[in-house]
Amino acid sequence: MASLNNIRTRIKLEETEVLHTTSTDFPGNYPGYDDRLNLDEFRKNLKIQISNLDTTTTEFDLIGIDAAIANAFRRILIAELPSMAIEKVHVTENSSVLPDDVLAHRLGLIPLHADPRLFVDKVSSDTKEREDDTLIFKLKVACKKNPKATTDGNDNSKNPYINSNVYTEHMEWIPIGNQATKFKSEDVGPVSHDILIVKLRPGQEIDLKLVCHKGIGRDHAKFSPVCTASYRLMPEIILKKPIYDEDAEQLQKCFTQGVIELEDDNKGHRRAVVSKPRLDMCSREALRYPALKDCIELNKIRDHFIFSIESVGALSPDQLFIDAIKLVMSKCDRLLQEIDGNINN
Amino acid sequence: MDRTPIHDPSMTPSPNTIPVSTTNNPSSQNLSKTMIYICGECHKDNELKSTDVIRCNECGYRILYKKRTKRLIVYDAR
Repeated sequence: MASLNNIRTRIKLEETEVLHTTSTDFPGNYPGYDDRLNLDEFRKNLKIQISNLDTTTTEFDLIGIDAAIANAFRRILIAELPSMAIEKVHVTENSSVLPDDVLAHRLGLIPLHADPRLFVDKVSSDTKEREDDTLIFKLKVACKKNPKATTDGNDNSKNPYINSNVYTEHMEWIPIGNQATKFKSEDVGPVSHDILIVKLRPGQEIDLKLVCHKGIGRDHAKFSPVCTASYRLMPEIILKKPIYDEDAEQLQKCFTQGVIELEDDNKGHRRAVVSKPRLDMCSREALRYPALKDCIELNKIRDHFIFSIESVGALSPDQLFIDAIKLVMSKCDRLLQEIDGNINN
Repeated sequence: MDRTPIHDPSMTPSPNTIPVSTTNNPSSQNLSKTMIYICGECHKDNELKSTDVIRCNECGYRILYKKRTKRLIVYDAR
C-alpha cells in the first residue's frame, strides 16, 4: 500500500528516467482511496505559505492543489492579466540612428508604472484619446555639443555632448481630461528612470508622442504584468540507509549547497542528514555513484508547488496572484452559467 | 494614420525663394520649383530646381538625400 501511495503522491527520479509524472488521483482510480472532489476536504488540505514577499518578487508554497489549477494560475499571470504599455508612437521627428519602427518597438517594451485596474480597454474603432483608456507621454530630446567640455581630452569626466543618451526619465507625462487630479505624477510613468532608449549625437533629435493603452499578454508580451511566473515541485530526498564519513561528503557534494548537512554522531563518525530539500535543483548527480545509488531515493511531491512571481512593477506580486485567482473564479462562473443556460434550453 | 495630403508646404522653400519670372506661368513654375536636399558628404541643405544638375552647391558631391517629411507618422509599438 505504501508504494501505491507513493505512485499517487510522488514523482520518482531514477537515474535514467522520471516515473509517475502524470496525476492519477481521479475518482475511482485507486481502490481504498476516496478521490471524489470534496470542497471541505480541499479546504482542509490547502496550505499557502509565503516564504518571501517584497515589492517586485514573491516566492510561496502552494500545497494540496492539482497541477492543472497551479498551471492555470501561472498561465493567467503571464497572458491574461492586464497592464498598460505604449501602443502607438506618433513620430514628428526622428533623426537618430534607430529607424522609426525599431524605435517604436523599443518604446513599446518599456514597463510602465500605472495601475491597469483604473483604466478600461480601448475600443479599437474609437480613435479618440479618452481619459479612462489612454495615457500620453511626450518624448522630445535634442542633442547638442557641450560648450563647457574641454577639447584636449584631459577632463574625462565632462561629457562632450548634452542629451546624448535618451533615458526613460526624459519621458514627460501629459495628463488628459481629469487625469491630472485622478493621478499623482509619481503614480504614472516608466517603472525605472534609467532605461536607455536611444543614443544621439549633436544635431540629432527625436520628437515623439507616446500613446499607452491597456492590454493583456496574450495579445503582446509587452502587456504581461510579470517578468516570470513559474513553479517547481518540492523535492524530497530520502536516505534509506545511514551514510557516514567519505560517502557522506560525496553525497553532500552531489546536491546544491545546504541540502545535505553532516552531523557528528556520538561514536566519532559524521553522518549525512537531509537539511533543506527545498534548495535542491534535482540534478540526480548522486545516482551516478554506485556507493550512493542504493542508499537514497529522490522524489518530488506532486501537490506541493513552489511558486515564484516576479512583477514588472506596476502591481505588487501578491496583488497579481489575487487578481489571477479572481480571474479563474470569473471563468468558472461563466462556465457554470453556460451549463445552466444549456440545461434551461 | 495621418491623412493630410502628400504635398507638404513646409518641404518646399518659402515663395520668395522661387524666381519671380516663373510665377506667371503655372506649368513652368511646377517645373522649376525648388526642393531642399541634403548633401551626403557635407550635410548642407541644398535648394535645387528640377533643371539643376544634381550636385551639392558647397562641396560638389553628387549624392543628395531628400529631407524627412514634416508630417506626423504613426507607428504601432510592436
